[in-house]
Amino acid sequence: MKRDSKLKSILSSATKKLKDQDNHTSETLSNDIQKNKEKLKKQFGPSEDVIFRQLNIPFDDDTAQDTLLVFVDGMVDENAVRNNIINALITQPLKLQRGGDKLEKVKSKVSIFNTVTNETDIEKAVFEILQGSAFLLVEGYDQGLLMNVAGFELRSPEEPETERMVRGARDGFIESISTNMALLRRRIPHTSLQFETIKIGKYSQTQIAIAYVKDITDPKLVERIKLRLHQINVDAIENSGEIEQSIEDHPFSIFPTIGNTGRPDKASALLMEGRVILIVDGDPCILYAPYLCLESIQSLEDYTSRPYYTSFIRIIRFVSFLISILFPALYIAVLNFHKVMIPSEMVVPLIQARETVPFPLAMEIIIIILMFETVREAGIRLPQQVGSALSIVGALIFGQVAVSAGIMGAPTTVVVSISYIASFINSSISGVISLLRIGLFIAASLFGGYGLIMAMLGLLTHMVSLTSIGIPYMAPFAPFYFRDWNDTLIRFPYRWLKQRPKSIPNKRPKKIESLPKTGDK
Amino acid sequence: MLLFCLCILTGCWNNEELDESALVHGLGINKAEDSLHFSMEIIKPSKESSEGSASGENIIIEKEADTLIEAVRESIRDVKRRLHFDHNQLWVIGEKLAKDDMIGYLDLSRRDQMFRLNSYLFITEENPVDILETPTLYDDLSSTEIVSALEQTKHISGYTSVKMYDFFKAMEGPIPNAYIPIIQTTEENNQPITSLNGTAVINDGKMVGKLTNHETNGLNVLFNKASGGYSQLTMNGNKISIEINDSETTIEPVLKGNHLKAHIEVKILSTLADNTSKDTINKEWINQVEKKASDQIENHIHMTLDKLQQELKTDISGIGIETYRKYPQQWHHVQDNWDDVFSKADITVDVDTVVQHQGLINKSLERHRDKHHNNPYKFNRGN
Repeated sequence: MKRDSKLKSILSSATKKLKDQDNHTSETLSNDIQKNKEKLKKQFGPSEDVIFRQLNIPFDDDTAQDTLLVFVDGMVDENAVRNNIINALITQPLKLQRGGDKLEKVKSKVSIFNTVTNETDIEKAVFEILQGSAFLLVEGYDQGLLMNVAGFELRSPEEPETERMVRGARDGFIESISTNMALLRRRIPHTSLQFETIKIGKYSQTQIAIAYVKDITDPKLVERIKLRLHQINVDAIENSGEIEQSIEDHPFSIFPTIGNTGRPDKASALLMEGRVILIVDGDPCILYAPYLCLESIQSLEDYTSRPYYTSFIRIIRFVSFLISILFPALYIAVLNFHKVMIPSEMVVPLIQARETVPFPLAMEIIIIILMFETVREAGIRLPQQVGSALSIVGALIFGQVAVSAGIMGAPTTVVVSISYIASFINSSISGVISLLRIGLFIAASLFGGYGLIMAMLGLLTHMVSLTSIGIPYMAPFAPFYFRDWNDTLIRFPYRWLKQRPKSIPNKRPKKIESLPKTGDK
Repeated sequence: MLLFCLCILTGCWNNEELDESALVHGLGINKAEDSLHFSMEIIKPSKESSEGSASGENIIIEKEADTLIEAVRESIRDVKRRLHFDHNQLWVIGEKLAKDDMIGYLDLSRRDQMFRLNSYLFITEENPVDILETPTLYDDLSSTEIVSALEQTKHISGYTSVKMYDFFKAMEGPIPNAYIPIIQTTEENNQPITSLNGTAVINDGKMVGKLTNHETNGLNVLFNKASGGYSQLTMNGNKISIEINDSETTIEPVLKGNHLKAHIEVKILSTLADNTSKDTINKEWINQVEKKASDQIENHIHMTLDKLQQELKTDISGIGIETYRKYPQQWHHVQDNWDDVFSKADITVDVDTVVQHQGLINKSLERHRDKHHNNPYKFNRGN
């Protein structure tokens, strides 16, 4: 209840702020079209992308009326402006024989094609024009017609490159929020899927849609997210990352507690699990919460393929995660502190490799790790044509020359490489893995296996303390929801996944009502 | 996590770069005039050569000292690096020391956490340095090679391998006797190589005698370690050998006062390995082989037991342990003069060998095979 009232007070203060802005500028239109043009020009300044177009609209009583059409080039659909406004008004004289208001006639003509509203306030008109509306002023009237003809260049909804799937939908979210909402609506055509839109950013006026399935999602979750979104007061929202970082529970943790995806099929699956999705206009990545730690080893494709291989791959992913964060740390702990743990057969080659290297082992590993990170970062940012040159330099100079020149030891290079290869399988959290690898490595190089264990304990304690919009990050392990274990490292067959995961609070626990009985003939 | 802790926190608590330490792979101890003579084989961190042929990759350090720790610390002067015994896999003890008293000098190996208890223990009649200095056939270090050879001894029932913890387990048991294999160098192709030859018998920390290879064979059967080995026999002038797949030995002691009667029953499952005769293999033939093999193995065991009872008066056969298990109450009375009880014991041995499988062929060579008379694919053999 307390939270409810808090939300209300914040909502009302937000609307009040908007009203204040309204009162602040109350310049209205006048009857004179030229004066209006001056006023508008003053608002827009020298911006050349705003087009002012004089139109002479003929009427069937052989009179004509001067009008002014204002729109922003590129923000409107050119075809709509040409056909639905200009052609519609000019080619045939408007019928005025039976009398009537000229503005009403014009409005009824253009409203065949567009949504039209009357507007008297210049500020508001300007605001709408900047968002892709066309504004039509008619001589002798102190109000204009706002027609929504927004339309701009969009790319087609292609599959996002970072989340490719072998078997699955081939579409992806794009930069336009309306297209993105439509992509979701097409997958869940039910009234229960609801979009709540708010605008954030004084200058950017970025639209943000909160999407959730009302029958499933826990209302407290939606409320919490809405509350936080309304508290954002910034000049501009550039991308979804800024929203993510302003509303997440633990802004200083290295673990992300809000997920993102570019795949509509994944987004709809998330919605059906009872999660809340945030679509930020201008960003093809949608955000979702709650985001659990477990998801970094899961993939949507796990559910399209059969359970056995999926479970195998999930185990591989988990083991790879451990290898990628622990391998260099274990290596230095064993070599520098716990020499008994070196396999006896490997002692001689390890010693011989170490003997040629001029640096201490810790420094050698740090150098290799930093070089790997550099090569990787360079590989991501470089254009593709240069990329192949980079891989040659990386592979040759690294793998071959540095080892044979005795600057780096072959075993050390192999250890770090294995760690990196293992991290590619969990690419969604590769940033976290890189940091953990270095952190654990430093702990291990200073205090050996003891330091490594202490660091791991600290890490686990931190991970258990994390929440994602109030939902425990490590669920279903901590807190312990045994029922959800049918979809963790081992994915059970589809017909045993009848319940929605308890880790994500929801109002509709049952997912599968019944399935055909097969197999017992 | 706890398990992880346990297995990682076993070593020394300090940080030392690998190239600042010297890893000892083999350690030899012998008795000098009035002190001990230590020799250590250290991994030589030489450059990797492109041919990959590594020879003489070891450094041998010799030191005279009173105790092991003194030798270890004193040799830092020579080695210029701190010695690490984490990877010490081999202990070679000179016969001179073994016959004197070796247990006391091995104390550090268990007191210090640096030593491995799963390292192998040997006794040599020669100077331990010679064993460590033997040129190797495959591996870089002679210690490594000896150890890897021991991993293969399961295919030869003539040898036994003893690890440090086996030795101490035996020494701390009810009968403080143990056995240690003997290693020696032999000349082969004008090149000395190491080979295992017989077993040393330890009675109360002192070496009292040794068993030959054949006697070791019998010992192995007694210890149930014979599986994987082979047995060679002669039948009608032809050599025949069987491979032992599985053997099971049960010792049944009967203690009456100070008199011990023991019955040893051995069951051996085997496969025919070699048949130099031209006989056709059938049931009777197999029975003959089984009989022969049983006799031979029985013989070996008797040989071993006779030597242990009469000559060495030392029980390492496991009969004592079985008696202790069966008669824990009476044990106190016989414990002190067990060697005496053992050497006067009546021991009967019964070996039952079963040849399960004759291999892939029947006869060694079958010259004439009659064609099946209704063979549809007849052809002339053209004399």
